[in-house]
Amino acid sequence: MTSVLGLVFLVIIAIFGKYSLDKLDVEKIGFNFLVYSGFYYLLLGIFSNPNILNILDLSVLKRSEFFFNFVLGWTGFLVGLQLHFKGIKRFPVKYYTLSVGHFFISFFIIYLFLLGLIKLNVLTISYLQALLLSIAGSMGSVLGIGLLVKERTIRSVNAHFLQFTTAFDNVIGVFVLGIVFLVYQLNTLDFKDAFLANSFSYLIVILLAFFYKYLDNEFKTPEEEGLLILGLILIVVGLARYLHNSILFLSFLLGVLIINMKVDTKKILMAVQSWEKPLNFILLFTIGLYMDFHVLTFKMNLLFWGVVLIMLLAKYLAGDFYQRFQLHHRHVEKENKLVLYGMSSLSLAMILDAYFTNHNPILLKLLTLMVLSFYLTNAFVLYVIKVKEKSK
Amino acid sequence: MMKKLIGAIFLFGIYYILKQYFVADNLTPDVENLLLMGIILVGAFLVAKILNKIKLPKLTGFMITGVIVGPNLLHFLSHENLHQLHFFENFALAFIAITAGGELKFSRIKKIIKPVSFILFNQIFLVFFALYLLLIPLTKLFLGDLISNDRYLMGFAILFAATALSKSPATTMGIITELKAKGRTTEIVLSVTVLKAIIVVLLFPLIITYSKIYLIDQFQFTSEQVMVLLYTVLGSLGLGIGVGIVIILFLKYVQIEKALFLFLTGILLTELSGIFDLEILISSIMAGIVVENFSEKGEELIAGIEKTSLPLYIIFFTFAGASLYLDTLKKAFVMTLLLVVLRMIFLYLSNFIAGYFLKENKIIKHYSWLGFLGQAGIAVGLANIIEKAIPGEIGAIFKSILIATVVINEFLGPIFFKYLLIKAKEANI
Repeated sequence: MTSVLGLVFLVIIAIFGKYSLDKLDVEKIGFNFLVYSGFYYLLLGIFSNPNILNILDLSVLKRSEFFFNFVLGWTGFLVGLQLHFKGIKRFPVKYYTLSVGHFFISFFIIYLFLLGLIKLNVLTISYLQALLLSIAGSMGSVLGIGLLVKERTIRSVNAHFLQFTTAFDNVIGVFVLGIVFLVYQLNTLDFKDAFLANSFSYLIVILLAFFYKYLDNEFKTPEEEGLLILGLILIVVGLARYLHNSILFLSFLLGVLIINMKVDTKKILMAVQSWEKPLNFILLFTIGLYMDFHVLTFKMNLLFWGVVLIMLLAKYLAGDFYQRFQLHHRHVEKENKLVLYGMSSLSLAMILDAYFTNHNPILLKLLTLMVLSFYLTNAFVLYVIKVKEKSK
Repeated sequence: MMKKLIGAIFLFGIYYILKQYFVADNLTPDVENLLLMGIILVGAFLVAKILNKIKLPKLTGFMITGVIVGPNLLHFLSHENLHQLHFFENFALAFIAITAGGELKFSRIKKIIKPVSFILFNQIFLVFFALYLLLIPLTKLFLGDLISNDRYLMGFAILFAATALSKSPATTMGIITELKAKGRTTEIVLSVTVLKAIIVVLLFPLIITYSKIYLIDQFQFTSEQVMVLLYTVLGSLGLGIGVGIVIILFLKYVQIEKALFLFLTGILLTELSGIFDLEILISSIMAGIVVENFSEKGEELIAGIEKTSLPLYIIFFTFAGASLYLDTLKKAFVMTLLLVVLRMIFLYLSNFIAGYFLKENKIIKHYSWLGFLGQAGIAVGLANIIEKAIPGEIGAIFKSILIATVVINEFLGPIFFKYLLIKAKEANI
């Protein structure tokens, strides 16, 4: 079966499958979580994985890589659009400090833990990979809060606060990812080459944002606007891969720059949002395809449980720190704050992004662990919230 | 205009600097092509807008961008890139052809069945036989010194006459979409174009095989060739009907993630046609016809595709422009020009005769032929047959003439069709 065709068959099955699941109309939050998180697509990816049923073999993955790269670019661009300074100004400063604090406290705790494992020779990953895992583990789940809002188990004032916190720490995560890539380049390339490649990437992204502003009026209809954005994302993705930079970060940067210029934000959002969900499903399918299941070793198990526990602990400590100093939003019920403990799906995209840059197989193992952590932490959080709510 | 020009130069400049000063290692060609595609999508749009100021259709602008970035000038898009990106070209063609098929609503065609069938008949038989008969003496007159073997002249005449029949549905759809054209002339041109595309694709293998009898020594027509032809035709129709049914079922029962589903359907059609050696044009047109005529939501689907068709047109026509062998124009220029003019004359006569007998209006009688000039894509394949069959100088000249005529028609087609739609007052711009 040829590359794209196999993929098409599977995704068509996935669409029909999701339709059947929707028809079942099961109201349970856990079940909804699986559906909304695109678990079904991930599962399909896993089944087609070269290590499982080998429906799509390695050569197919290689040939389809450009498309998966593009999906990452689109994802990064969407995250960038969230950082609309004019729009988020209305939130109190406390929200920002809380989100940033949450992220960095979690980040340092996880990193210290991984550093300890590396020093003790329990783990054989590089410091950069440990940094990557720490970023991935520190971002909160946007999905969990979305589900709570949908289930109406949360008041709107609290929902805004939690939605902001999770969305904003995702933004910080991508930003820190950009810095990690810079460090990676400085480590792997000659300083002059790294400096030139990075400066050129950032310069082009900035110029592309100005290009957008400069020529936006020429792209009048929504179709033309979509074309312009599609073209710019493709350029940034190609540029990122060409210069070994982060696709997520560069496209995020493009999104941030464009949305904060004097442009018609509604027009941009209309052009990109309709593709958000389908592309997210393709991203999950891709993640399933790339997962490496040779991780059931003692060391990897240790890492997995260690990361999950330390992630939960880190977020608990971060929350506790704020609670102690009464910095938390006082209206938010304690159990709802738990939603911040769930891991973000963007974390998975980050590891895939890093893999596409240097094709290091260890990253696929880490990706697998992160997928498991993502489902485990989110399922745990939603379960606890539901149980606490029932017991009220 | 200056803004757009600066924009286009900036985009092409990025690619130039990147290729010139940065070496990319471990790069899969597809990834480099992502960058190229992004630049082409936006750059071609800007170039088309610039040329739009002098009333040139956007499609022509896309093709000119293809010439600029292609192997003829800047070499950004090499023949190798074009080969790697061939999938996208077919993918775009699949969508364009689905839309073209989707415009063929049986109930609407019924109202224009007379002019459509009359023009169609004339364009196939009159153009083919008239050109075929004229070409033998003409080729002998112009190239007689070079060719001593009359069988070659016969073979070339058959192939050229067959090529002259072809008309690109993509050009027709592209201009109709660009001008948001609606009306009787638009419907007649589109219906004839789509039906002719199906008939021509069915006839082509037969004609090619027939021409080989003259071009290749000891070539014989076998029953196996007939079987291959039947397989291609029936397989393509079957695939189109099958995909059409899947789309209908999806629209009726599922209705979620429509955009993703359509996108994947396009890939499915492209890949399956490639795997089973089927004609993607027929399959896609058929799928469009089935959906439009057997589903209540057909029009919604076609409108949905049309809304997102801009990148597809850009890809298809920029690649078409980049694939043009402009250097062939220099060779045998007079003969090429003569053939282009002859094709125009016979197209005019075909439509005039049909219009005269059916007492049609002035537009149909005198101008509708302008909608049938555009060609795309098919000539290179046919020309290669000639080159393989007749090695050496004669083969090379025949090949050049065949390709050069298509190059000219490809550029003139969109311009003439736009003029027709404006003249018929059916363009909504």
